Amino acid sequence: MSKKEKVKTTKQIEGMFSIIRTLLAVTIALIFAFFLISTVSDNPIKDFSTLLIGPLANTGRMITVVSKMIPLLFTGVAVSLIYSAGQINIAAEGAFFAGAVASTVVAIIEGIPAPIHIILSLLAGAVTGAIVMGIPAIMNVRYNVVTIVSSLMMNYVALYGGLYIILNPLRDPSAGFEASFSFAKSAILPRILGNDRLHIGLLIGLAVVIFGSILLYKRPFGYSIRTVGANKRFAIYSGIPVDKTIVLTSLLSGAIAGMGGSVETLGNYSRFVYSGFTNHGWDGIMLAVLCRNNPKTIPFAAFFLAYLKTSADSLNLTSKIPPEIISVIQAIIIIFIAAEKLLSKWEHKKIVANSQKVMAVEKGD
Amino acid sequence: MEFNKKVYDDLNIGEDILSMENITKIYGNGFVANKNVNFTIRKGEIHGLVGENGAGKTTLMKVLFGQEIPEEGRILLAGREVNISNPLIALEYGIGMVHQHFMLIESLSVAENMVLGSEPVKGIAFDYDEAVHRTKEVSKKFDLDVNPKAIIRDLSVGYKQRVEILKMLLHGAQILLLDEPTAVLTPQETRELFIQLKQLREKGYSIVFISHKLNEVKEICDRITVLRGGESVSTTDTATVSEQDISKMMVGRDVFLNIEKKKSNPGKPVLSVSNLSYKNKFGLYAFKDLNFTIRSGEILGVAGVEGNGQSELANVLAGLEPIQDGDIKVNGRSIKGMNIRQIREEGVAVIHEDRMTYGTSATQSIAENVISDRYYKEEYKKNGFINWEYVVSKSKELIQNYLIKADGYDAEIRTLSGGNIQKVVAAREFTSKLKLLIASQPTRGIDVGAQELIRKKMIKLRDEENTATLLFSADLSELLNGSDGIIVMYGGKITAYFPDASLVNEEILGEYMLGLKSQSSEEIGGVVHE
Repeated sequence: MSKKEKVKTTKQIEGMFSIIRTLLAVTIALIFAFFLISTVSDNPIKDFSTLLIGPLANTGRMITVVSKMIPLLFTGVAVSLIYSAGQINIAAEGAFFAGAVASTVVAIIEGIPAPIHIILSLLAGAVTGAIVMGIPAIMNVRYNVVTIVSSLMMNYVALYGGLYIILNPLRDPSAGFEASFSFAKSAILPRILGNDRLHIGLLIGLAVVIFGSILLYKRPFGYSIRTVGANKRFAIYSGIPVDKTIVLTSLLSGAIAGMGGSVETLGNYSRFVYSGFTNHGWDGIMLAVLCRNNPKTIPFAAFFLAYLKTSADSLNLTSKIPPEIISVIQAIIIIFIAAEKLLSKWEHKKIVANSQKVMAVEKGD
Repeated sequence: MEFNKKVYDDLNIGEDILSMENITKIYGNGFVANKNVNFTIRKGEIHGLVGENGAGKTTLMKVLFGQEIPEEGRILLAGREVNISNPLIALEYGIGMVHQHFMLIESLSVAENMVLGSEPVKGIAFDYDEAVHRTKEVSKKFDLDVNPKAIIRDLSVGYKQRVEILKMLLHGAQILLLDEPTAVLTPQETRELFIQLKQLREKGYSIVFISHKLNEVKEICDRITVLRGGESVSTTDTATVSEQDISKMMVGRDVFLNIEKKKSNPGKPVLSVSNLSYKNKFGLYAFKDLNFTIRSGEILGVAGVEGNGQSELANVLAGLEPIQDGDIKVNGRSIKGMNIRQIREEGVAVIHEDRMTYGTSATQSIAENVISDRYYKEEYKKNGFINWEYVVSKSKELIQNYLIKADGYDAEIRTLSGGNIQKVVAAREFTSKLKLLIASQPTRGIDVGAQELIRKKMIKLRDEENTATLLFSADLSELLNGSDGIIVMYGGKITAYFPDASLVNEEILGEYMLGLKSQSSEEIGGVVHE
């Protein structure tokens, strides 16, 4: 019997390889980064170490990392949900932006007591985000419009519609630059941990992560989502209400992304200041891919990404290296992790060897 | 390529033309499909390759045709070791394969399909006349009649197969690999195929004939090689063994595929189909004005050549396609306008013919696959959450009762063999508190053990739960053996009804399936019960 216990299942080998693959992808990307830095830097060792451990240099930078992580929690979970349903709906970017705009509309109203004002602002963001991501889903279910195209276009509707509102009815002419009126004090998110850059959005974001993973893996609706995503025709055949699942998931995903926009705006600014896409939605797509649509691991990936972004900023301050390099590194990591066949020959050999072992054990019995 | 097919001409009839030595093939999911298999083919022989489904026959042929690369072993052609890394190289070596699912482009003509891969050109344009000419030539040379200008989708299955064989011959195949060529044919078409194969043998061609129909293997093959569990058990002259011997070698024990069953004791109609018609997306009737009933405790078999409306009927009954015209009643209630969940709640269970697309979800676990129709029910919930503990215990129970071989309840479906995947489907559908079972090709392409289990379970449902079953099967022996009554579908209509399946045979069914005969409307009307 003891012989048998040593034999692994194919699933275990595959699990092991997915970890090795991620580590290898990150390693290759860092090596690549090192070479890139060497070509542009006078002191590549110093700059590379800034890239690696720069954010650890002081607490201020660590707080920057955490604060950059907050919006990513929302968009990462939002995209994970909708991708779990197999929908290539890429309107999280637009939903995030629209959410920020909608909560601005509510936040500039004076005279609403604090907790209610915050809740109303966040709700406005969530509802607007839901609409942005929900429309492509409804168009797909009803009229068979290809989601990837309609959702891409929704991003521009959200962006320019939002900018119109900010720059016309909501524009504060006294601001001196293109921005909305100031938020009412009662709408600004409370600080936590006694730090004026950490706000309650962190807790809301973590709650969203927990909500997302419980929903997907513990609730019947989450089972519907995952089954629709894994094999839509199987879901139809089994009697799962597929269209309803797709629309509800899109609304939910949009609500989370929209609330992310609200939290980011009300947590960090005193008025609406964006003049274009914030990229949080696109980052959410990347995180969902890295985490294979599992919300549970989003905080780690979000932290990793926020860390990289902070490194980029500090590298930018301390060296001549442009922050674009970080974007290159990010792209390379994604490419490698998305490459499912990386190491596949080795993996296949391992599985083959294991199967032969299993055969030998079975013969021995 | 340095290889010259002339070496084949130098061989005498009966000499080894090809040998495969110690072939081992392990798939990416860890499944060992071939273990040290040895296999030789002589010039001018028909060599039967038999074994249960899942024994590794198709894999071995895919290795030979360059579609799978073996982990170990070598292939010798006329004594020379060769490396066949893809089908084009296989063709250059004169090895051609006719797959179970034809590799023909439905919208193109016979001639265009024939020259695919080596298209004749005139200037920069495709030379259609030359393609027609070549097709006629090869058709004449081998005495296999085809119309070069016919469009593939208008042809019968047997005809398409002939095109496939000719295509391989046109590309210079000397060794033909036929993967279960008779599985899709009626008895009459099979006879015709055999005549053609014998002619090819006379001309010195070598043919590998994969089948699990032992009477056919006995009839046409010179030698047979038996595979079992991925290993080659033996190669013998067909004349020296009986069908019983072969089946024993295949399974390793005596098998009784003919399931013993009592006479049915039908009750009231569970399914009543009235004036049901269905038009496909091209506006053509897939079936028209169907009227039949199935009573509780009764298994009604549906015979018919593929494409005569059976798939569409099964899909409409399952709710996958809407009821366009006519009505379907289950236990007296019309299911018109119901969604699939509601239909299933009326007690309808479905084994879909396509188990990988509809029957299961490949990247989800066994546990997740067996709850897809019931996860939302109170029984599977606790405080609004899925009660995974309960789901797991239920799954383990099903894995045990249905003898599903897997790493565990959390094993993903894609890591299972075909037979075990079908057992997962059966485990779910047969435990869905069903009153009516729509079973499409429930045992197609799975091993004998799984076939036996599924057939037994269907009869158990009939006897113990009074389930009404509609059984679609391309395997006539399964239909004859497993059904109480049989209807034949031809051209979207019911053309025959046999109230007692034990009084018909494959020959009779074949005549109705090919549309050579049809019963009177009174006889057919007998399938409607009050």
